[in-house]
Amino acid sequence: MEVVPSSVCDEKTFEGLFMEHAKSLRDYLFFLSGDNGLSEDLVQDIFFKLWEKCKDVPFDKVRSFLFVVGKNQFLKDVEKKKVRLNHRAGLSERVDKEDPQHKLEQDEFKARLENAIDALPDGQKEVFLMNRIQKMTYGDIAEHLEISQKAVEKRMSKALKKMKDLLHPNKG
Amino acid sequence: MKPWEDDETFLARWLDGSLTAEELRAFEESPDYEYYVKTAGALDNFELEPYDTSAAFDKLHQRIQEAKGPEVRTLPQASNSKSWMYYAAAACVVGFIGLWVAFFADSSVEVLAADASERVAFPDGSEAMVSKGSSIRYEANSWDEARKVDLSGEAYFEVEKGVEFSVEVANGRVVVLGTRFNVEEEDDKLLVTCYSGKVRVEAFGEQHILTKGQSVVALVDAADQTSETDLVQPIWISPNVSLKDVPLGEVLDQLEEIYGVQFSGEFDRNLPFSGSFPNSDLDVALAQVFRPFNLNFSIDQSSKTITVE
Repeated sequence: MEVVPSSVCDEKTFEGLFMEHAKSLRDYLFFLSGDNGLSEDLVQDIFFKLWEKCKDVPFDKVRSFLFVVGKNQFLKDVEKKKVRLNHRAGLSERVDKEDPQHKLEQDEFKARLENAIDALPDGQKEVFLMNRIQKMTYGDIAEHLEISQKAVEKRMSKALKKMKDLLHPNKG
Repeated sequence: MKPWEDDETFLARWLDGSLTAEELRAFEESPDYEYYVKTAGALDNFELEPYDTSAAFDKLHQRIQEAKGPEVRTLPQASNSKSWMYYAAAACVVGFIGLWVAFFADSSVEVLAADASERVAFPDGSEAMVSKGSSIRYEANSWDEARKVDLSGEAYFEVEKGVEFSVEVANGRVVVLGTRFNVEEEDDKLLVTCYSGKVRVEAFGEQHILTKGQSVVALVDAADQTSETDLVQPIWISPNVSLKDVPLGEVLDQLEEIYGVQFSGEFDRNLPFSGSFPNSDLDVALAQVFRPFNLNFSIDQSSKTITVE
């Protein structure tokens, strides 16, 4: 069988692309929208669009296609909500059983954290969460968002400063 | 001086551990430091909703299949045993992807409409509806250079603009100069109807150019017959036949063909009929055709003859 460059129209390649990018796209849309169900629906729409346009999107442009279309789609028809976080499975359960007081404090902290994230401008928020939750490097984030690494570092620094001021007011 | 507040990338560099030793020491000694440590770690115990990537892909795949239309099947050429093996192996390993692999592993595509009519999409967007019991075959790889379809049975075509599009049958070929047409072949005859544009029919040593609404029956041992049609597409394509101002006689010809019945009786065959009738329920079809004219009819089931009065 002839070896040809990967085409996005190749179903196997397409499935591979979905497996590789769907979750980070869902997470990204969630960071922007704060709505998980909607983020998952958007992932479906965006990949469906990619399939329809598979002839026009070169393999190495897929990731930026997904994130750019994703952001446009989000800006177009999404009502923003607050990002809701889940306590890591395991940890919180263990703690909850032992100490109800601790659970209360944890919930309070979670609410404050969510409010602080919500207060970040979109550009800072996406970078901050991609780095802090998805553990993406600045280089990766820059590639995903098609901005310079320097811009990522600036946004990250601003976001951390703002988060610190919101979580620990009157300190420093 | 607080570089962590003034230097635009200081905090980012701190997070990924790329501050100089000197910068780091100054930062660690400041009273702000412990709060930045707490802030940076604030999300460590949180995660997002889990995401079932496989389930999400299944959902997407289903949507893509639905968008492709009903039951479009592409099968490799049966005579090529190697491709069949490949097809079988691929199908076992990767499920639906097997179909695709077979499609490209062997560029010859055969579609057999075994149980019902099947829609086939060609690489350039042209389409065929293959009638039940009929089959077509074409070369996917060379489609751009030569749009050639081998047909056995009956199929309806909608052809995109491009290079010559031809349908080859045992007794001749139809070369498309325009767009929509139906080809029906039997052992000793070839029936072609052109619904839009222009086609050239070559059969049994004769040639016919058909334009919109024209039909030809080419016969092996008799003169070819041409006729006209008011239909916009063949009756078998859709479950209902819709007609506008068509003489009753022609409507009954259609019914005879669809249901294999005969009509007899004295009535005006030139009455104009406008309306629709199903092509799978004779009783309903008869009622819908005759009701507007207040004509009564009786059916003799044994001889399949319908008497109209």
